[in-house]
Amino acid sequence: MTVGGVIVSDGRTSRGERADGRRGWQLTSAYTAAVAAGVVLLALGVLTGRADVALVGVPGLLAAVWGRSSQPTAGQDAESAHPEPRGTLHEPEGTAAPGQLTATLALTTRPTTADIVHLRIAAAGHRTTELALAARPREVPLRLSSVRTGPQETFAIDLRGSLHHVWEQEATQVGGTRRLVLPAAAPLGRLPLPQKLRGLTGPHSSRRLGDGAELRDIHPFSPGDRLRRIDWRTTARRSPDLDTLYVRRTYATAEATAVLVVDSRDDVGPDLRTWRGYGTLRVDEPTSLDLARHAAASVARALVEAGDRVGLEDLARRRRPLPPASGRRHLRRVIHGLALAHPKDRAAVHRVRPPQVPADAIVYLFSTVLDDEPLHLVRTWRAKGHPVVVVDTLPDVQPVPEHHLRIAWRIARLEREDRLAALAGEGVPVVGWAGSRRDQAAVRFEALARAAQRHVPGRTVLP
Amino acid sequence: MRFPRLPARLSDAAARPLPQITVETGPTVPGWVLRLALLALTPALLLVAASRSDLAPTLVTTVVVACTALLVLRPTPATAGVTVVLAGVFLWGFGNRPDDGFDPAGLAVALLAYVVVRCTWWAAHLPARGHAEAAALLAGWRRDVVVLAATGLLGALALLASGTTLPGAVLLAALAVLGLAFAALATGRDPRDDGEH
Repeated sequence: MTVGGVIVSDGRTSRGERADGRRGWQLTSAYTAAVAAGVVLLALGVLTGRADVALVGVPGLLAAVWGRSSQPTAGQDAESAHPEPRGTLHEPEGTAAPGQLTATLALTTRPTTADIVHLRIAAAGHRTTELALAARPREVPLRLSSVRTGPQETFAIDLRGSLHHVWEQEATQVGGTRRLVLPAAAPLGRLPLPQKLRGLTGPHSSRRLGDGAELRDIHPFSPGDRLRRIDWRTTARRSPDLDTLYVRRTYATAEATAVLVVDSRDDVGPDLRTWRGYGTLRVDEPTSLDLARHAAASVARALVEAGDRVGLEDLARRRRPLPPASGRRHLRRVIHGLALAHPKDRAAVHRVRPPQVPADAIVYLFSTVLDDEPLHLVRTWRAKGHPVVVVDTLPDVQPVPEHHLRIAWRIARLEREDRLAALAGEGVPVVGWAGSRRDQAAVRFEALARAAQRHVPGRTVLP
Repeated sequence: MRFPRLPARLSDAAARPLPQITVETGPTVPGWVLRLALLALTPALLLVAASRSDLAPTLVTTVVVACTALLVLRPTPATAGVTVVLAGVFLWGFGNRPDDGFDPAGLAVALLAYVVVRCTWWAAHLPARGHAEAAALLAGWRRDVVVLAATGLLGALALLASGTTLPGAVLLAALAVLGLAFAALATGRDPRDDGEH
């Protein structure tokens, strides 16, 4: 039926509110049951002439009468649309870190309004928690156990007060907001850098002559050399008559450019049954996209702290890549962009052109390598002279009892191992980031950086 | 020697329970403790009531098992009310008792009945996996003490009345409590609404 233009079913609107607009306290069935049992026992006692039988129903009857006589006061001020007790959820401003989704439920009540507050706290991926608390003005801290990153749903709380076990309040809902959880960054040591460095300043020594600190050679003075670079001791030793002046020549400094390419076309967890969209991903296990965000944030932080330039490209988004830049403000932009990366419809469609990468930039590709697209991208970038490091973000897959899923996973795993073997055969380093391999990632990056240093002393070169 | 091929028994890691929401409160009591209390208190109530009369053991056992199962598995105020009434009927014993005077065990039955009703209310409002703050469990302890003291006083008066062989006093006490019940029913018209309109 329709009341005032609002569809009403069972006396309630589609939003769950009462159609008559009444909201408040009601006597419960506990009151009715206590009175009924007391009256029946009194009648039985009177009829049988047994005072002890009548006495059995007396305490319940007395408590019910007491509770009925002490009705809850309104407890409602003009500023609030909800009667007391009521709750307000206070969440920290801004973004959150993984495992730190917290909030505080502020309860507002007074002793004459309710003596017990019932809470039903729900959150996506968590067990619903039901609590009965003593009603008093207080703050209840709440925390989720999610390790997921990106946009996350938070708390949904149903709150209801009761008084003397005979009055109960209609439940009110307190909802949390959708919050953005930024990926954390693990400390990493040195990272592989591109073969050619760019720019006139930076933390690295380039091959060009310039105003750096690293000595290249001693050279006779030539037009264009600065007078302050004349090495008078060498000149006095080699040319006592001052026929020729000698200058100290140094390498110029430069910076490296890296592009982080996050393969966010899919987001798979350790449970194979969720890979086709059935079931729910657990919030206490990181998915492939969580691992990719974590790995990319760690690499970005290490590069930015070293003074290099970092860009971000999302394979699921065709537009607005983050151009390479340096600095902490840019690092925040990169991490924010990582947190917003998520699979999109038709994102798995084959790309004709790989993402544009600045010249002389190294590419860090964070992918599960579950299809041939990363292989295609890596080969294209390498053909253009870009060194590539692939970070494997597939989580450790858990065994499943279903036979068909085991066979499907065996086939997918063999194909994936073929792709990884092909990458290794082409000289592309692959760094694992899932499970125990994450602890070894820093060592692996350090080994790659050292190997490149041995190849060309003074500079880093990647195959 | 060939061994038969055994089917692989894989533990389903995804079947483990979902993580919990951490809520910082005072000391709490889990909901299953209240059901455990009901499991002990309900037979105690019925057996104490039945012990004063000569009822058939089969009947008593059936009622005890049925009421205990109902209260533990499906605790509702109506179930608790029926259990309390059955305890009263057991105390009466269908008139089979040799002595029809005031039985002092009625006080213990009344106390147990009140505790069973309270436990049932908590079990009905708190699932087995829920938690109740200890302060919430003790929220109405003053009212409970007063109610039980008044019940004890009434019982003592009834005991005195029966001891002085004044049957009219028993009827007077019963009528007084009956009046109290009528007062309760007379005031319980429509549910009160304190909400906004």
